[in-house]
Amino acid sequence: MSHPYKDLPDYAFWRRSVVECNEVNPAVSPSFSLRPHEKVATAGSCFAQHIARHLKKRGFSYYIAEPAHPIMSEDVARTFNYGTFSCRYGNVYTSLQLKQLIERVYGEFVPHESAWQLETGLWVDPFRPQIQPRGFISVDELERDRSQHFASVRHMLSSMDVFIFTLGLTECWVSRSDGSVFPICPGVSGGKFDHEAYRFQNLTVREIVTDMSWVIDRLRAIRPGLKILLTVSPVPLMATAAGGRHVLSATTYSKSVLRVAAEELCEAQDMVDYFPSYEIITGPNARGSYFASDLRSVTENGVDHVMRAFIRSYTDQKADAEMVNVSTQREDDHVEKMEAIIQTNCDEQALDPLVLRTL
Amino acid sequence: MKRFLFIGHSHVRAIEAAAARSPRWADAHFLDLNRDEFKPAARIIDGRIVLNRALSDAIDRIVKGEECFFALAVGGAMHNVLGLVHHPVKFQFMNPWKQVDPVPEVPMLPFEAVRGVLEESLSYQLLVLRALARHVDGPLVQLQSPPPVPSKEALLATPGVYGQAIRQFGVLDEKSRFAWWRIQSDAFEAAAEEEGMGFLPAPSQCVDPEGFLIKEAWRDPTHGNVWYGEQVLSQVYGEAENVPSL
Repeated sequence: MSHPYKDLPDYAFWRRSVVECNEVNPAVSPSFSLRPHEKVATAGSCFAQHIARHLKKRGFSYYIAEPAHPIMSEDVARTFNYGTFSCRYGNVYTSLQLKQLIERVYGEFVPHESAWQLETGLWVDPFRPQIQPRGFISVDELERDRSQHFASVRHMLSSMDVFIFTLGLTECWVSRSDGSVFPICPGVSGGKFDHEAYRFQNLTVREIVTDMSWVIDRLRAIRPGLKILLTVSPVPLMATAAGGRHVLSATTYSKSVLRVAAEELCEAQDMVDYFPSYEIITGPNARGSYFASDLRSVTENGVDHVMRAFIRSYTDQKADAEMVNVSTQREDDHVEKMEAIIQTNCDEQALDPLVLRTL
Repeated sequence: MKRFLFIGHSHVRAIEAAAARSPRWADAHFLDLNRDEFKPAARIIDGRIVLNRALSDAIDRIVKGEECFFALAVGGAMHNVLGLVHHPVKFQFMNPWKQVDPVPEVPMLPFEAVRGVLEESLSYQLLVLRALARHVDGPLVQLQSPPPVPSKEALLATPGVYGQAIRQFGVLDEKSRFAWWRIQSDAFEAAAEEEGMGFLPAPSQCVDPEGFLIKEAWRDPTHGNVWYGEQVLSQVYGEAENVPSL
């Protein structure tokens, strides 16, 4: 008896590829592969940070276009969000935010709001409010840092080979005056909330597809042949402002919209793939084990599974290949050298402390 | 009877040298934290800050249960390790105290990142400060390290290996050097306040209107000279007069 299911591959069947499978890998039809020398840039929500970290560990050319200065230790660099993503844009939660970021770095959109002052007197960037602890010491410093950051983003866009974007949220807050979208609701990490100034928006599939289509076309115009990988963050919403809705329902809705949008984009565009990290983490196969005790954070085991699937599907590497030992200590010979010289000078003081040396 | 105990790294030596010149300061005692037996001066053991045993014994031997005024000159050179000369990978930063003209094509680091770098580098010295604060029993101050020397020419003329390094890398502009020093000073002042101890700024007669060290006090790029040490002694003794029990 013949029917369409008869000759389907194993991955089309739940029992064979989910229930009875050792390790689920839904990424079955990659349209491109990654080569080790290709510059891989990342942006997106918190989950994208995991991908960035693991790419580095696995020896890929994780592209950091806005690196930390060598005088910074790994800890300081991390605190100031150097290397969290390919540039210091912070979390880019929505398609609208990504679109506006690209417009802003090319001077095509200049939001009305440029800086928010904190109670401490320091300043934060409304579009990167958590990029560094305490903020900037002046508007001048903030704007110079932003200008430098934009130059890094432009450089990244024009030289990356692969762009991985993690769609995180549909809910966002938008300025009524110019439509600029904020990564975090004004008033939470700077700024002052005002219903007259800001409105809530829950992006629809249509809006996301429209914005992301613009983004993809723009990225390809800057960098023809760019490979794009979309993922949906499995991290549930911290809170929902979609009134009258439980956060669990709001999360399901949001992730569903993002998932459908990602699917439509991949169907419509060449060399744009959806990578199923969402399914790996949240699917019944994981039995909830890839969420930490807060039922939001993804465990390291979960991220490892995602990355093994990624490696198997998109590279020639073996999934269990040895990780690259990424040094956690930044080396700065200059500081060590100066420390030794100055210590010697300090020690020499003991030899003739009574001598009045004049410079 | 009162006595004074100065405990610190290299900055304490100018004070000690000044004290040796006059019987006026005969009751001043000194402990140099660079002595091998005092290293490391403090550690964290099982979550507790623990002072070096040899150091605590040395302190107790000097104090002998008498009333004593303690003045610390812990650390104080890290601002020059990081910010006296240009890093081979040049960068610039703005600061809240002095307007610095932007240098084209040189990357800017956020001020708070520069502060983060220096404060991280001071973690051991701040630990020592806290350990001493928790050990000594008596009025206690941390002395601000000498402000920077403003003159680029003077710094370039520094003799020896130090001078070679300065000429090799080039002197940072004085406003940025001031900022590095001020970040360090603020970090020590904040730690002193947390520990309930005083913080004595550099003697005002040693500081010019812009906040730099006056020429009379210069010794080398990092330290004050013996005259500066005398000014600090006068300042500390004057401060002790405000303490009722001494």
